[in-house]
Amino acid sequence: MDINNAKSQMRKGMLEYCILLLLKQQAAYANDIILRLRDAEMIVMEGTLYPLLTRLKNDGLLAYEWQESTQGPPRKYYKLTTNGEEALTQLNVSWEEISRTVNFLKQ
Amino acid sequence: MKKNISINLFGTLYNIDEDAYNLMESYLQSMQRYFSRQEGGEEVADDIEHRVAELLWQRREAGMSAINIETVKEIIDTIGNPEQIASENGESQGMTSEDQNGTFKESFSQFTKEAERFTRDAYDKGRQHVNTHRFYRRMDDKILGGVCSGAATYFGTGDTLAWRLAAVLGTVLLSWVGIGLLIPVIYIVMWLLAPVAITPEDRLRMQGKEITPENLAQQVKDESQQPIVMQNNDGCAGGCLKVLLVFIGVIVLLPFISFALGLIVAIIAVAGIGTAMVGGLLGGMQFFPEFASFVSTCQPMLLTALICGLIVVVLPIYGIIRLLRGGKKMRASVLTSLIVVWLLALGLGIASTIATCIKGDEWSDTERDQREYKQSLKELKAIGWELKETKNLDEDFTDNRTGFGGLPRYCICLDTDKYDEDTYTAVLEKEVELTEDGSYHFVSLTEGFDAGLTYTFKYKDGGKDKEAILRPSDGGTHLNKIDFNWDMVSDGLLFPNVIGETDESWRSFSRYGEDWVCHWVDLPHVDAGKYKITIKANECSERIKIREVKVVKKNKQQASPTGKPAAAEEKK
Repeated sequence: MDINNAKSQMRKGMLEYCILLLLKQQAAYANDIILRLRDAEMIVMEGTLYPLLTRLKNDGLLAYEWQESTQGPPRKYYKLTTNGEEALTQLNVSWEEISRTVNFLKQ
Repeated sequence: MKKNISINLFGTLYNIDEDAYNLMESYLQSMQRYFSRQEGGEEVADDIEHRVAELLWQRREAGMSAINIETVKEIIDTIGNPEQIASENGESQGMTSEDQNGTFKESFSQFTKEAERFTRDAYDKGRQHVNTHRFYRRMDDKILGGVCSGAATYFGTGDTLAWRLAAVLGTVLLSWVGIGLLIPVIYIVMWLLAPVAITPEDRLRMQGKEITPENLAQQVKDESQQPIVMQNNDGCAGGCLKVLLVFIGVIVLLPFISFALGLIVAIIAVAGIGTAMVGGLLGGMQFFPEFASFVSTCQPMLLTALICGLIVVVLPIYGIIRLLRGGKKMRASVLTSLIVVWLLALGLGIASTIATCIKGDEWSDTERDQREYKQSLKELKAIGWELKETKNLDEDFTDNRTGFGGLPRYCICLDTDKYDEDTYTAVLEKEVELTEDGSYHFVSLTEGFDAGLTYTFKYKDGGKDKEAILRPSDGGTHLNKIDFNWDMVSDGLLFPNVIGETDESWRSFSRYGEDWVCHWVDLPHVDAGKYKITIKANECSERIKIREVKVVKKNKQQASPTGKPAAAEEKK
């Protein structure tokens, strides 16, 4: 087992969940998400984020709107849709389970 | 100093270095190409472009006035290149299908099980698409379709010229074994199938390098320093026309190229063999003195030929090795002088080879002459003649070639061709024994005009020393219609129909188109005894063959006007 690979796989699996969590609090555009994720040490490669956002949007979990910015190019603000909130609820449950399992095993 | 250009990204102007711009553009293009294969990919590429713009903005806000290539590399590192994104995204693609019929929980656990496999597959797939060592045709270095230059770059061996030469020579050589169209066909197939290297990424792939930001940046940097000039990519019609022309050219020129190449190969081979023979020749000299004589005769020319042969062989081999190794390019002046040296060596080599052949031929003539001379001397000795004295006369002076009519072979040839200026002398002597007193003829028979010869016969007449001299000058009388019997010549050389008819001391006659000259002198009385006949050749004007010089007993009966030879009658 490649420990680095396993770590990165775990992180990747968590990424979508984290994004949904992040966007539940407030709408954000790519830079905000990146900064938050970076603070949370969740992301290594920015480029990975964009396909993910697009796919979540295409799956109907996210929606966005363009906003002009005085600080650079126009920004795409993402927020959760109703579907997205539903999915997040499910994921929360799932996370609880996983976390319970892990904690249980840790003891 | 770098050229700076300004670009417009979503309504904002940025100043950017040219190489940085090239890198950035190729990066964005490769992103577009990569994501265009996926659903909603254009959007992702667009997002990335927005992100790039934002990062640029941030840097400008931070006080950077112009964007340099380092900045772009930084940005690419931050966002990631297509390959990295492909590997990072592997699992997401796997998950998508799961989303539709399952819960996130399932998909998540599914993912944790199979993530590794998915990732690896996707990564490999991504690699294949994004980062393959591929064959491209090069439009920046082409004669026909850029296939050879592409091959040189793809295989990373040798320079384009070597590939081109190999293609042409290979075509010619293969045509000798009947498959001359093999390489042209391969070429045309590659031409039709292989894509053209357009972007810096293509050129990286062509070289088999990974498409990492560093490599890409390096490539773009290199290209900005040494711009890549694309030549026209022939359209279909133009390309077809070229193919047709090449085909016609190959068919028409093949025999000529083939011939020329064959000639060169032959020359090189001959020169090589010649070089290899030196050893044998030198070794042979010890065992065959004739070789030594040959070598010493032809030495300077032989040596020249061999040295030239070496140069002719070694230079092209050196050149080919150099080409194949792909070393530094030779300076034009050096190359030119080497070519000149090679051509000189070729010319000189051919000339000296021919000269050696001629000289060798002469040598063999001389050799033969020497052999014949020795043989001739032997034969002369066998019939009593001895060479007493020579001066300025080489071995060429005897000739034992058999004349017509079965004459004895011991003729003497005085080849005077070579002695226009030098005086020369040859003295031949023979002992004769006369068993009885009586009257004799002192006779000579020569082929050709014998001016310059003196025949001397010293004898005793009643105890007194006397000397009979035949000294032909051009005062001789030609007697044409003489019944000349060759048997008689071999028997005893008698000319009865002349002798006794006239008091003239000598005569000459001609027969069968050959100038057979006969001189004689009457010797009314000679004492029996041993005497000597001497032939002295002195500044003869032309080639003379002496058939016989004799002292013959005078026979009144033989001197009949009918010319019936006594000797012949006696035989009967």
